[in-house]
Amino acid sequence: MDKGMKINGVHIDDTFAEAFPMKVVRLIITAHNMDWAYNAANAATGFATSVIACGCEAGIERELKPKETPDGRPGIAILLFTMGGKDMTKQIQNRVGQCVLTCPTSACFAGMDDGEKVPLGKNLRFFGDGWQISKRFGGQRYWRVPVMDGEFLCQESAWMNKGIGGGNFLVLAETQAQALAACEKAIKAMRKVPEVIMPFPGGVVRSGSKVGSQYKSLPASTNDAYCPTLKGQVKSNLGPEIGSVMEIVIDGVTEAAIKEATRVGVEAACSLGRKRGIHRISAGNYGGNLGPFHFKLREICR
Amino acid sequence: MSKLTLTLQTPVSGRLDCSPLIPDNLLGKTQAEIGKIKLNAGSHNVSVNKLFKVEGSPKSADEVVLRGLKGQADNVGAAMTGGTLTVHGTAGDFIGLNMQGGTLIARGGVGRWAGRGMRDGFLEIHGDAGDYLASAFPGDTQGLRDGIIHVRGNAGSRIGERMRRGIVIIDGDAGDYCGAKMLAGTIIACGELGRFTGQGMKRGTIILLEEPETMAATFNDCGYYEPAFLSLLYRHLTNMSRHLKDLSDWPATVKRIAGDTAVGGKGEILILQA
Repeated sequence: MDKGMKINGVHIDDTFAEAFPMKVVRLIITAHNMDWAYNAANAATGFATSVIACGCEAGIERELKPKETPDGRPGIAILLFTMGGKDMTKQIQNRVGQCVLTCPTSACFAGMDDGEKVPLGKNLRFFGDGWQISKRFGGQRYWRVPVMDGEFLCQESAWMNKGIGGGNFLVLAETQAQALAACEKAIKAMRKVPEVIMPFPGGVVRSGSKVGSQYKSLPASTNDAYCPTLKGQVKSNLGPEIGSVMEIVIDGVTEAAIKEATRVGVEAACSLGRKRGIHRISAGNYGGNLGPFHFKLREICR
Repeated sequence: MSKLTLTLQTPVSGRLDCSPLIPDNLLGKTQAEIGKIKLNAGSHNVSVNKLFKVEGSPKSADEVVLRGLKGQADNVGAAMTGGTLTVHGTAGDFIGLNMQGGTLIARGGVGRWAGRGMRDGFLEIHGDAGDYLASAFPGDTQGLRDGIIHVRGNAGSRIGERMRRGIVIIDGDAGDYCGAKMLAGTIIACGELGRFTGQGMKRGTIILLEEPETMAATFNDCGYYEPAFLSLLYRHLTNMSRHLKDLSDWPATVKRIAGDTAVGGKGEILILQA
C-alpha cells in the first residue's frame, strides 16, 4: 500500500468514485406542521434506495422554513433521481399520488424554476372527479383537488434537470460499530449540504455490489473484494486490520454539490481518526470506463 | 428611470383615441416622429404635437406618462405588450384594451370597459372604475383573459362578467352583477357589493370580506374551511404591487358558497371569516 495521503491518521486511497448522468426533480412538500410534512416526505421517498429495483432514488434534501415555501407553511424539499424522463413521470405520479395526496394537510409544489416540464398535478387532478379547480398565479397553474380533509393543492408541473447519481465513498474500519459511528457522523455533516441526497437507509449502505454474479439471472452481487469475512477466500482489497466496510452513496444536482458532500463526509468520518478504528477511505468504481463523472478522493479532500 | 411625458394642452371636443400612445410605440422614436403620430379624434385625425406637449427623451426613457387627460381619452394603453405607462387625470373608456403585458397605472379614475380583451399585464387604477370592468364586450365571448386589475377606489356594475382567467381586486365597493356569468378566474371584492353577485357563474372564485345580504337560491352553502391556495394567491399579489393591502393578515378561514347551480355550479364565493 502506498503511503500517500492521510487525514487524522486515516489513509485516503488514490482512487475515485464513478458516477452516472441521471434526471433529477426537486419537489416541495408542505403541510400543517413539520411533522406532517415529514410524514408525507418520508413516505414519498421511501423504497427509493437504488434505481435497480425501486424505479428511482429519492431522499429528503432539507427542511424549509415557512418563508421559503410557496404557500407559507413548513415544508420539506425532496429530490428524485431516475435514469430517464419517462421513469420520472411515472415515479412522480405514483409517489406523489400515493404518498403526498394521501397525507393529511399536505400540498406539493415544484422545487426548481426551469428545466424540462414533467407532470405533477397534471394527472393527479383527475382524482377530483370533475370537482378539481384550476388556479393560475404568476404563469403557474395549480390544482385544487377536493379531498376528505379539505383541499389538496398541487402545482401542475415540475421541472426536470440533469443530475448525477452514484457519487460515493467507503469507510473501512476495524469493527462494525466503529464503521457505523464514522458513517453516522459523516451523514450528519452531509445532510447540511444542499442539492444532494444519500438515498440508502440512514444514508449508509452495507451491501456494496460488483457487476455480475455466478448466477445467470443476477446482474449484480456482493462486492466480495470488500467483504471482511471473505478475506481468506477471495482476492480481497482489505488488509488484516479491516473488520467492517460501509459505503455512503451520493446523488446530486450538480458535480460541485457531490464534491462538496464527499469532502464534508470524508472529513467527518476521518475526524474519529485511526485511534477509533477508522483505517481507510476508499471509493467504488468500475474502472472508469462506464461513468463519465469521476470524483477523485484525493483531489476533493486536498 | 427617465420618463417620456405627454401633456394634453389643447382641449378636445369629442373622444380621443389614445391607443397609439403606448411604450411599445413611443420609446426609441425621436420627439419629431412622436409629434407626427396621428390620433383619431372622432370625425378627424390630429397629430400628437397639435394636442400634447412632449417632454423627455424617448430614446432613453423607460416609462411613458400621459398627463392632463379629461375623461375623453379612450383606449389608453391599448394592446401594449410591455413597459410602464402612467396616466394622470381621468382616462376614458377601454383603458387597457387588449393589453398583452407591461404595467398600466391610472392615477385617477377610468371610464367603462376597463381591461376589455386584456390578456396579460398589470392594470392599476387609483381612482374609481366605471361599469363593465374586465367584462366581455357585446359580441366577445370572454372578458378578462389573464393579467391582474387592481382598483383602489370603487367600481361600477357588471365587474368581470364572463371573465375567463386572471385576477380582479376591488379595494372599494362595486355594483350589481359582480362576477356574473364568470367562466373562471378570481375576483377579490373588499367593499360592499350590489345585488346578484356571481349570477350565472360557471366556474371561478369570488372572494368577499363580508357576506352579501341576499344570495340567489341557486348558490349553496358548502361550509367552512381553510383553503391552502389563498396564501399562494396573496403572496403572488403582494409581489405584484406595493399598493395592495397586506393580505397576509387576512383570515385563513372562509365560508364556501358554491354556484351558480343553475349553470353547473362549479363556481364559488368565498367569504373570509374575521
